[in-house]
Amino acid sequence: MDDPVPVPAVPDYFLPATIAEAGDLLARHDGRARLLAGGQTLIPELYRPGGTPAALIDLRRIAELGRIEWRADHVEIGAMVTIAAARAELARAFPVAAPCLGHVANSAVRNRATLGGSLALADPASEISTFLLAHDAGIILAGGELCPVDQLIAGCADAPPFIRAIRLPLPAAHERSGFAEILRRRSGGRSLAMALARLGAGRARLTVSGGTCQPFRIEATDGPALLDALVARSSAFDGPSTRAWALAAARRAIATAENAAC
Amino acid sequence: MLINCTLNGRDTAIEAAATTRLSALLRETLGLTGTHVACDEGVCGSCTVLLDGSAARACLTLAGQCDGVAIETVEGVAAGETFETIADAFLRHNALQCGFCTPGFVTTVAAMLRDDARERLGDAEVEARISSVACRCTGYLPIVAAVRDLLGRDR
Repeated sequence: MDDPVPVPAVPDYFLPATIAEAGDLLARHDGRARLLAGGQTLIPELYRPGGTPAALIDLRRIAELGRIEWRADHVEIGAMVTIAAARAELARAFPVAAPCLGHVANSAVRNRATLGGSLALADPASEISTFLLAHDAGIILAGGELCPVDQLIAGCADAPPFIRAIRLPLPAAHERSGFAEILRRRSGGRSLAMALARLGAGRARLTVSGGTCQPFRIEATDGPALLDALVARSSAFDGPSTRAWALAAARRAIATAENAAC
Repeated sequence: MLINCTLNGRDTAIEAAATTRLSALLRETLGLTGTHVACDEGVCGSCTVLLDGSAARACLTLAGQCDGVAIETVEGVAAGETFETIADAFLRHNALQCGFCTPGFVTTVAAMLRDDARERLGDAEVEARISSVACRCTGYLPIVAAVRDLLGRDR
């Protein structure tokens, strides 16, 4: 290997200790800096032609972004909490967290990838976006403003937001939930479609994403009604095969939820 | 940027551009070529190293992210106590053929053995971790057998 090691021309690398400091750095670079969370999506991007920002602002030294705080009716998870840590921490209160977040990339990537980073980049085929949308997450931005997750995902296309924390309302104790994802390969493969079902008393909810379609929510009175509603919405998907995969994922998620112990 | 880290148990200071990939830093600057590179996108797992004890892709880690971190490469695992046991199990079960992916499995399995000793890992977790590294030769069954043997579980 005699090729020189390719290093993207990033002159500045910052390790701020506070959110305010990171915000100042971001403002000072006027859109030419990128926030670095776990880097699992951003690092390959840096090495693609034209992917080089003027500066990187590494958020890992900001202690506040790594906290998880449990409250009476919700949990607040710092943006820099890794997928692996979130999956373990949420497992008891959110039974669907383990199967859903367990589908994110692979175990080594999950040790580094963060909830905030994944959400900010808003990949359409994202278990994280699907999980957060399904649970009515509120996103707390760096300035403290609260934004519903669907609004945030819609806005991510313009510029990745600076996320402070994610607020998740706790599900009711009697709720049953299920997650299903259709993959070509178990680990590291691209998702064809995924669905998360939440069944409560008289209220059934389904969150689906497939192909290049961002996740969306459907609500009905019970599982079968959810499927009818999904068929009615199937023009949202980018092709007949995605539609079929999304329906398959939805059927499976609902069946898993129906079977789940309360 | 000066990177102060622990590399295979030794305190080390390395001068590197903050945006150098750890995989390149290990191979090109430090001569630790046991860390293999194939996909450069975090999918194949050949470059898996341990950062503060957890498996991570060296190709998806920047030098700047390693300041203050304990890095353990396959060379570090190979110098440790459990390596002989891992190597024996891999040989006994024919868990490698061309060997390109093996460093990624060795680091992944070393972390798995330590984690399992702390708190028993479920079978699904064990399988998920094995499938985080791509092997094109073995078809995985021999690797699963070797790992289950190492963890003292029935096949």
